Amino acid sequence: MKKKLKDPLVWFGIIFMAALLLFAIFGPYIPTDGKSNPVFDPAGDPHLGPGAKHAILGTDEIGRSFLQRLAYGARISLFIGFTVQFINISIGIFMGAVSTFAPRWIASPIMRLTDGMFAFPDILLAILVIGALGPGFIPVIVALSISGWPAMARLTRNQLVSLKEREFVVAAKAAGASTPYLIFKHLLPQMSGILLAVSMIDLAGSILAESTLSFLGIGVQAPNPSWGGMINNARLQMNSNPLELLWPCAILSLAVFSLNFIGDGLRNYFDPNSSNI
Amino acid sequence: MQLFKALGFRFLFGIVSLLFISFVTFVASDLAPGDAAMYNAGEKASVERIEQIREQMGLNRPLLVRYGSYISGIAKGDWGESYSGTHEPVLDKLKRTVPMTAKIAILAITLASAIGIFLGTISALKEKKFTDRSILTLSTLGVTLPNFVLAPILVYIFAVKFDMLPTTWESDLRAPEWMYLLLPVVVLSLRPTALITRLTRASMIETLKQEFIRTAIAKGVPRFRLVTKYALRNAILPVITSIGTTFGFLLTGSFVAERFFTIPGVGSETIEAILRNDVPVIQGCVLATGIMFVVINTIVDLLLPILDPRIREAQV
Repeated sequence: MKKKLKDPLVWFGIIFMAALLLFAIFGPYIPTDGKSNPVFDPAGDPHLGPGAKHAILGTDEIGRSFLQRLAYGARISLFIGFTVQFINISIGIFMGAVSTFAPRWIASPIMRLTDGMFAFPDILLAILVIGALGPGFIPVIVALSISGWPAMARLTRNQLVSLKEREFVVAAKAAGASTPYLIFKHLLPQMSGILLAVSMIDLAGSILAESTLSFLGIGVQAPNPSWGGMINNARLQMNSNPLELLWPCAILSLAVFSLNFIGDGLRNYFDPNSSNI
Repeated sequence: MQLFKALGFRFLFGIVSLLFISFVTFVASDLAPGDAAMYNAGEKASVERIEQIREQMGLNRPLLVRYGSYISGIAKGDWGESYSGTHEPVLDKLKRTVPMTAKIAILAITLASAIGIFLGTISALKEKKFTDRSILTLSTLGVTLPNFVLAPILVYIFAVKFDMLPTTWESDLRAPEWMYLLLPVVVLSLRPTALITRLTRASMIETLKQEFIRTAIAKGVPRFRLVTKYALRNAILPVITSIGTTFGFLLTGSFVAERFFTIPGVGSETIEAILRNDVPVIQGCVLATGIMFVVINTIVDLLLPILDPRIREAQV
């Protein structure tokens, strides 16, 4: 019994993420904004409200267009999110596969390491890595990759262990398939749906973690725009310009919601029996 | 006797986690550029001078030996000194900041458990009705809404618009302390509340389907007693297990909440230390936070076999 993907929230998520991707790519070239940057009139107030001539969403206290900063922030968030997810999935699948198929003396230490990583709250590990490397763009990617892969490895292992006893796998093995052939031709395609679902939710997690680190001031560094950094900056202007908070908060929350909706929808679609807590 | 064995096993696991966390912290700090010798020698020192100090401080011994002396130092209360300012011992900094973070975290988890278990139970009792759907939708939002988005919204409403609460911590408080802590605790408890609500709901729905509940209904046990005494006592066990993990989210949140409301806790201290590249302080703060996490998880682990005889028997 195959359910269709008809939950409206899933489609909302897909459409929003597609729009966000386009915004990240083309946002900086939207002609209403950025004719001159900063756009403010030197004699007047640098704070422009929404609907201003060269900044459709308004400007911050030094006259930078919000629309442009949001677009560059989207580039950074999505780039970091996708890169971290790519690294996590690669390491996770590799570690998961090795810990399932390798001899005990290799598999055991890997599993202990994975378990050990769970003893650390994610953010603490990320903060530790950034503490060692110093704040910045690359350290954020390294930090989030180091703290992210164990969950993927555990998921892969759990899936592989339950799949490898299934008849079609045993049959392929009997027909003489090698372990790598089994993994890439039979097992991974079987679990690609659930991997996709989980990686959507993890992508939301990476984007959120990047924003959190940038909000704390130890992630992407000013003057590079990032949503978290914009929120941190806006909270200081809260009394005079509350709208400044609205844009980055809205775009970040919608991105995180959308990815979670997509992930939940995909999981229900590929694995209808999974408990949805 | 079985109980003691189970408790001992869990306690041992806690110790091993602590050692793992301290080792990872130590190695990461070791990889950071610059070491204590360079800071002690000052900026103008020659390479030979730095090497000499390194020799004196024993920094060129093998990693494991230094880790050993670091751990024994920590056991004796020597957590190192800050590189900057007055070279304040890290332990003094922690003594000042840890109680604040612990207080906020414990208040938040208590609030989250109370509200979460209540809402989850109501939701399960009204399964698939309007109340249930509303609570479920709200909790989905609660799990995903970033807390640094919620914080400005609440501050804007309660502090800026209505001017009822102070926004940020001050060195001399002008209002009772709870007024300063109210918003941070609410912000911090949002995600745990949502998680505990969903978990209680799922666990309660499972429990209500069990045969002993049907027997109890048939026997004519009053509804309130049925829910609290029969169902909830069983349904709550997985929820208690989850409180340990939830505490991890709480620690993440506490970095944000402390930063946002400028509360002088471990989170703020860590961020400041990272920004001025103060390795011993970063090391100490991360270790202290890790210890809090492990201690809470161990307490939860120790509670479970006491509360649930089935776990006690399975765990030998």
